[in-house]
Amino acid sequence: MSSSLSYPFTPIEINGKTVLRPMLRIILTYNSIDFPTWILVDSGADYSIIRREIVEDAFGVNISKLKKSGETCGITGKTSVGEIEIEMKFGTSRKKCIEKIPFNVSLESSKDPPVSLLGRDPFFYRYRVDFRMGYTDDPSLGKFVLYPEEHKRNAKKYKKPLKIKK
Amino acid sequence: MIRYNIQVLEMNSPKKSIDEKQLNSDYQWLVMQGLSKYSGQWIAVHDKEVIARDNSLKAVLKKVTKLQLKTIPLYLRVPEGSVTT
Repeated sequence: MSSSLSYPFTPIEINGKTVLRPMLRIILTYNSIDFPTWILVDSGADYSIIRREIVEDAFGVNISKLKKSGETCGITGKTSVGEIEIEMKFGTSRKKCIEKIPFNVSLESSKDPPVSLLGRDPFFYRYRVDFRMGYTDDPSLGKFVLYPEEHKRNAKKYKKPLKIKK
Repeated sequence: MIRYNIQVLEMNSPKKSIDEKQLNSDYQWLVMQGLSKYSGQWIAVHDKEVIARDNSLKAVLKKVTKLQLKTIPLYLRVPEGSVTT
């Protein structure tokens, strides 16, 4: 049985253009509060970022009390961020996935991203993500596929391409 | 601080359940409807219907609370603005 999860791209109209985006339907859980929503799977983002309203209005967290964890630079510009770990569920009735994701939250209300983003660290370390936009000759039938990294190879057999600081 | 606690209580009291099947079918239904009319807004989808829409999530949560649903709806913010590069 395949352990992959396959999703269609979501067509979103922006300035009269239809853009196909890999939106993953998820359930976020924090302090026993469930919040079903979606998130953009973003291989270009180093980390994940969640919209402030979800943290503040859905989960009841006072963002002003979050400690600054760093700075991030995205499409909304440079912003100070705090961090919050949220449980994220997705999958099907046959294959359910639960991950704890450390999300960045912008500490500046004007610098919120237009949509919450699921970046590479740690999600892409746990899942291989294939963007198959050319799966058929009809782009609207493209899909993105998540493969859990279940069978990790022994790192000792591989040469490191770069010196990676741990 | 009290303000936040009230919001949390509203959302979770009485404890509502998640219906995964319903969420999936609502999501598929919504995508087929087209999302452009909701650009820049938060929407709540339940039983193949957009039951609330507003520019703020807080207002959407408030509207949904009043409906006293048995299951939690799907909350989505439809992105607006520019194509990203």
